[in-house]
Amino acid sequence: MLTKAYGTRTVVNDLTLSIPVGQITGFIGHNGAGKTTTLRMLLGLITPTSGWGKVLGHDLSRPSAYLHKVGALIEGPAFHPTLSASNNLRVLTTIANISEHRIEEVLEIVGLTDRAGDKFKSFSLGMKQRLGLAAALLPDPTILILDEPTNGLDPQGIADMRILLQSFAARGTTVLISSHLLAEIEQICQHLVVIDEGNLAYQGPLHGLTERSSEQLIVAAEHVIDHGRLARIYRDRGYEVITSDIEYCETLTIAAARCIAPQLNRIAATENIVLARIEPHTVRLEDAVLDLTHKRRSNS
Amino acid sequence: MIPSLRSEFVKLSRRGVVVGTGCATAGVALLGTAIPYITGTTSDGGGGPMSSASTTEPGLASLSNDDGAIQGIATISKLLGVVVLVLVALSVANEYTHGTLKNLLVRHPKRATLLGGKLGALAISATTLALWATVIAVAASFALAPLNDVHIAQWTTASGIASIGTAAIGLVASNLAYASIGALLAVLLRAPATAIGIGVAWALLGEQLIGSLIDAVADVSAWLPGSLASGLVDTSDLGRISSSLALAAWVAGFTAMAIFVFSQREVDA
Ligand SMILES: Nc1ncnc2c1ncn2[C@@H]1O[C@H](COP(=O)(O)OP(=O)(O)OP(=O)(O)O)[C@@H](O)[C@H]1O
Ligand SMILES: [Mg+2]
Repeated sequence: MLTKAYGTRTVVNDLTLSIPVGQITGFIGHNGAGKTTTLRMLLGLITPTSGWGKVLGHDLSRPSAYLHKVGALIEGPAFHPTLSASNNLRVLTTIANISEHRIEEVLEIVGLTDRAGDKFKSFSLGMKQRLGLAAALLPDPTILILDEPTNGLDPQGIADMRILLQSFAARGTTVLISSHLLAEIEQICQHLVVIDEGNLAYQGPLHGLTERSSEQLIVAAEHVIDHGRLARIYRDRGYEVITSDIEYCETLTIAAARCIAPQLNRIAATENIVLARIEPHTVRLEDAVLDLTHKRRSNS
Repeated sequence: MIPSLRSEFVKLSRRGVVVGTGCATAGVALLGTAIPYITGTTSDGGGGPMSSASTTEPGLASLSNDDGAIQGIATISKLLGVVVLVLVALSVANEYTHGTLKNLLVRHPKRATLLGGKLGALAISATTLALWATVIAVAASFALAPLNDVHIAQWTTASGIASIGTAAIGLVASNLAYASIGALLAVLLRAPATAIGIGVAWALLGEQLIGSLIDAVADVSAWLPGSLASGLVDTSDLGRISSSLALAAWVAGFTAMAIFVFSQREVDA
């Protein structure tokens, strides 16, 4: 439960989060929603106006108890422009008593080995971002907190990052990643936290959001010709068939929760129609999030 | 504290920093040494609490005294202080403007020792620069004296060597004082340009102005940090113990305040 106010403006309001261990959690919200502010509180950089929290079992008020296991990239990569990439990392390994070997290792991981001696200011945007990630990886973290890490990365870089984060999660690292690229989040996160104007709008598994907002099932028979008959049968049994042109459609959309799928299947079977496909109608995360914030605001 | 100190040296050992501060300090030391030879007059640069009124002697006669090798440097100790102030203000304030402070704090959350180590490294640098300035000034004096008929016999006597040592120690104290001013300003203002601007203005003008204002009320301007620092560099000055203690109190106060503000303030940049 965390609250942060700047003057009279409360930018994070009674936020209660739980981030699952060993998974990739997406942290999303519009510009100014309070994502960075929340992450700064987790890192002990700013103190909550009220509330409390625990990271790895330690209270937020004692960041030195847990930060040695945390790697973070907050609001873009920040380094000394006239210091080389490896010396910028050396500043951090020295201050944290981390072995110097890690410098080469993390530069290798992010693909900057052959630029290690170049000054930070000579780097491209994507290379700077990679160095930021390298710095976050230095302590071999149990928790990785990344604030918009894909900014400026090319498609290959984004794909590399995805594979990298997935391999970390597979090894038990907890990853918390904020992003505006919802398509990205959708591909790599199992868990999702959505905040809107400092308030929690959703937290839970990713599919809980993309499926919940629709509660619709897509049904397709083996032969398209059966769709008209099947739709009439479902209607007779009291199900709402949303598809309008039932005679000539590729699939039928039925307003029903996921758990109704076996019943729809059974009904079709008793009528000798074989179903080729029955699945939840997922909406794009982007639409789900817009929908969610829209609903939240019209309620309040 | 030690990891933070070592980490700071990774940044301070950049070639640009070493060459830049080294050359600036050498340049100022050369300038100070050369001024009496160029103008043909020497002046007492002092102004400590117990110092007698400033004296100007005609010609280069006083340069033949035992403290002749380091007289010049006393007149420009403020400029040496400015070099140090700029170095410290840049090193501290740039952590805010570059956004690198958050990286440091995630890796080293104990703020007091973080800044303590950083300032320790900067204090070592300020000391090194003071000694470097002394070396340059003495070497330049030995080079310039024969060309200007200044007798250097007194310089190498025991009291001559002692006055070089005294000036070097005074210069170290002076540099540390300006370093602590730079550190406090950088922590308060979190931007190098304003910190340096205010620091330099204070060192070169502000202290005298404010000093003369408050002197109207009570004669205390000599106890302000800049005057104390200048007094300690000037070997002819008396009352060294009380002014050393007073300057140490300023340095400790500035440093403690910098560490206090640094520890309390949120890091939102
Ligand atoms: N130091 C500060 N002083 C005053 N207000 C601040 C400060 N830092 C952040 N805010 C305010 O807090 C709110 C949330 O900011 P925050 O940076 O957490 O947003 P965000 O979700 O990270 O946005 P973005 O997606 O643009 O990065 C904004 O309204 C911002 O103006
Ligand atoms: Mg942000």
